[in-house]
Amino acid sequence: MKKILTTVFIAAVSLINAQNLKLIVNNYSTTFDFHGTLSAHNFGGGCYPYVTTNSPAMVVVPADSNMSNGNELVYANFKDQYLNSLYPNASWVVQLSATTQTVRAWNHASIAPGGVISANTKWSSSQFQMYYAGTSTPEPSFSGLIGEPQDPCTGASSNISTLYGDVEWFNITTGNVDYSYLQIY
Amino acid sequence: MWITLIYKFINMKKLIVSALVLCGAFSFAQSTPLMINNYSKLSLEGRLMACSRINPGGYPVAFAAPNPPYGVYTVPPLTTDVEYVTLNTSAASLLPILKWYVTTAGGITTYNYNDPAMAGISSSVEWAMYHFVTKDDLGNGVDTFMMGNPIVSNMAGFSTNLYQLGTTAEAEWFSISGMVYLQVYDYP
Repeated sequence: MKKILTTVFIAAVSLINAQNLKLIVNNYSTTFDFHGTLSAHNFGGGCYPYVTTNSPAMVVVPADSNMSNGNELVYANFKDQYLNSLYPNASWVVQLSATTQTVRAWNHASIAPGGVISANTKWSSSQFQMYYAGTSTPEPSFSGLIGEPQDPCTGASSNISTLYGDVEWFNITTGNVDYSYLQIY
Repeated sequence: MWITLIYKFINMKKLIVSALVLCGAFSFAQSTPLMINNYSKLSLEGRLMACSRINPGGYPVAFAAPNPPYGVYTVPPLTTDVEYVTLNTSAASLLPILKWYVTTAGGITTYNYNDPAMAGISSSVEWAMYHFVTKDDLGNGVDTFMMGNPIVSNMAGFSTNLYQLGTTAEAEWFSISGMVYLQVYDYP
């Protein structure tokens, strides 16, 4: 009986589409500004839809911007981030298959909360480059592709260590909300 | 010892049965339902088609009969969650399809959605095309869209698009985890 319940439970969990997602970027580095893309994609079979920041493509979270001073980046969904986030993104690149790609404004019906694209995507990764704070000078050794581990759609690492600092990606579920955290130290 | 073995066997069988039931539920869910979301203020009027991905000529090729009370298959303005799980359950939808016009090498036959033949036809086709005209509230045609999966619709000789931009609307056809979606939006 227990085995049957376990089988059913596992199946049920795998069917649930994660709703109520939030992406949080905490930049604890005091030396470097974070410049990075932010992507979400389908984890329920295949990689599409695949959604990435477009304007700006590289979102900037300045040095020492994090939850301890209230300056962290928070994206609840593709639309509301434009209205509520400190670091708004005005449009998204939306790939619906390997051959179809469209640019969608933040308020387009296609990516609205409750629509199928929003409901079938989860925050996945960031291609980032760190810059010396307040400058346009990158630190070439402090960059990479950070994200969900073991994700064949991105191939990202969930931990990146350099001489200049460290970056990590992890998830926390609290109440109804699945948080994806990207943190820079 | 025998009792333990028999007990284990019974337990194993239960596990296999529950796994089979689940597989059944999964394979049903993967028979590519179609979901149409018309977010636009325009009416979509045209022909909805499913056909075979593998048979020459795309046979069987199934066109939806007009959904009552319309004269052609129509999705009214701002109408979403129009779902067809299979062709032979197409009456159980927000916009019921009661008949299908089915072409095979032998000719064209009209079937009720629940005709016994429709189960077999349904399982051998995939959603291929919705060829429609957008119409404004005065009934004037605005744009023609050939939406669909080009790989499947080409089997029946129709060129379709996964994305198309008209003068007052845009449309996209895509699939997520086995479910096919057609979504239409106002433009710009």
